Amino acid sequence: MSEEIKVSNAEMNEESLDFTHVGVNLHEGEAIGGKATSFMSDAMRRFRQNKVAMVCLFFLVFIILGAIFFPMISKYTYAEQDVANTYLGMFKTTSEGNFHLFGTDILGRDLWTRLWAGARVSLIIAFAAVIVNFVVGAVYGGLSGYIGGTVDNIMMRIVDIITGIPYMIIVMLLMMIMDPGIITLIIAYSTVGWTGMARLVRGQVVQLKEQEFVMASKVMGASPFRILTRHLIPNTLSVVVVNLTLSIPSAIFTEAFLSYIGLGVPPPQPSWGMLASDGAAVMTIYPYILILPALFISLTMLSFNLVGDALRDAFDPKQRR
Amino acid sequence: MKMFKYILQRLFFAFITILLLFVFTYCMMQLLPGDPFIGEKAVSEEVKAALMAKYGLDKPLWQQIIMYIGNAFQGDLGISLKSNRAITLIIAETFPISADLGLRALVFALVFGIAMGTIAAIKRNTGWDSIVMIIATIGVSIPSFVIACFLQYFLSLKLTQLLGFQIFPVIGWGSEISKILPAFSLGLSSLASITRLMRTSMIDVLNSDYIKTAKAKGLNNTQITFKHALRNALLPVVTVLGPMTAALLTGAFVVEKVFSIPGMGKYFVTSVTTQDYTVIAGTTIFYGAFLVFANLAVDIAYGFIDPRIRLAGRKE
Repeated sequence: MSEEIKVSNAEMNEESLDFTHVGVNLHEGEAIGGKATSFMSDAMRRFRQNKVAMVCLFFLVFIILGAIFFPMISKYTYAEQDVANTYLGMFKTTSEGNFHLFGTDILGRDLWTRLWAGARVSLIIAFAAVIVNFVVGAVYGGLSGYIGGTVDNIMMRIVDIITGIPYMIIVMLLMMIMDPGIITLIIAYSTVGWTGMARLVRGQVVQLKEQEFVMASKVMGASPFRILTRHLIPNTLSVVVVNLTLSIPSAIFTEAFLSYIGLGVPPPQPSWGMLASDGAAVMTIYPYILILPALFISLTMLSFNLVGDALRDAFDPKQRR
Repeated sequence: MKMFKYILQRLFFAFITILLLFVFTYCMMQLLPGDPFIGEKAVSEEVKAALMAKYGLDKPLWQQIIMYIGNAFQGDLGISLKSNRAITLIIAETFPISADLGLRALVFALVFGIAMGTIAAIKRNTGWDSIVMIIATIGVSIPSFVIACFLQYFLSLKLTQLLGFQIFPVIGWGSEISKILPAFSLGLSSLASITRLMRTSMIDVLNSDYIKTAKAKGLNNTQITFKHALRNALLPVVTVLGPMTAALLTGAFVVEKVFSIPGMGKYFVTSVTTQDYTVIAGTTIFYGAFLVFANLAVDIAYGFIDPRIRLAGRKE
């Protein structure tokens, strides 16, 4: 027992002889160990921990890729009619040997192809409308907040007045005087949709430009460009991204709503709202024609909502650990 | 005095909004193709010019708009191009039905939304919270016309077939039972957003210092929730009542269509599809003015409820 200790002691002594005093390196002691975590990467890490949101994100990626590729590789087009085989149920093959995964509609058009072509239309409208809203709203709100004073007051009162009128009514009026189509839907939605973003960005800019860290940056001689790109924009970005994510379902809903009451894209072009509207007409006999687009609309809106909620939680500085 | 100034300011903006609504709607109608006499049999240029002069349509646009506004304030919004009936008469007939439906949906959304949001906040991070939040998230994600169609299909049609007798009528608006499904499908999305809002604001309030004081005083949970927390947590809900009215009104367009309810929403949608332009203009102005006043009422009510506004003028 004691011999073993002696042996190990001897070994340790021999090893310890390898150590030499290297002196104090003050420079290295000051260096920050470990990788610096930026706000964004921290938020992304927290977002990835949210299982539900990740599932939703994968679903959305699937929907977007599907909308791009499925209409291309399908052997039918969305307008191709087969009047001998109308209202074919799901997973059925016609006598000519044409397989329809989701069956066919009133004119014998393949529902699978129409659903994905409709996804294309609905998503293009949603994304384009949201991007236009973002650009217009961010510029308007940013200017209003940055200039401040009377200009700000007048600009925000204009926004107040526009928000005072129900947007759906303005959209419907615009849809009536313009030719129906995707571009019209985008324009109509964007005419009134930017006010929310303008308010949001203005509020952020007003709040941020008075804060100490911006002043500190100014005192240290940072250029306005640096303050804008390094301080103001990154701090606004999280709120803006969350708002954008949450406004996509509202755009999808508006499109579906307008199509449902007959102000959507012109036939034979499908959109989710059109398909739901067509389906509602024959719901009592062929419920799947309504259920499928309804499911697509609802799941997509649900996913965008959940991803938006998760992003908001991830960006919330109070939850930063 | 501050309060008085606040109300005056709100009134002024409401007035400007309604004025703009008139101008906007009238200009939109001018942009539409055709003229009011296009449907009748071929009229000669002279007769047409005389007709235009008779109705004041040869005057410059701004005079026409002033005339339109003047008539509107005397209760004349023109006549329907399709049915030749006065638009104010149509509104007087159909609006009470829509208002009935909207109020039912609003009460349903408020009562259940506030209750569910409060429960979720008090039982935060438990099964109750999850269930409420799942319902709320699904509620904001399904469009009202989808809910309406499914309720109609499953609860009216299938249930009747299953039971052999009818509980919920498929369409129509008459007995109290026939009003349940439309009000439910119209109110569900509002219910969901009230629930989410109520939960957040209740959690905020429950974490505040004065609730700790109340706890330290030895009050029980019921007293804290109902006497102290609920009142303050309700404030944000009041602010969304204006936009919510708007959502219920526009939501009624489709719900009334699905359930064949002879309300104003259904009439509006029908006139959109039949391109009855004067009815569209008239009802648009009515809807707009109604919502502006609803917002105004909510804003003023909020001013009285929230001491920060009542005592310090506008909240910024």
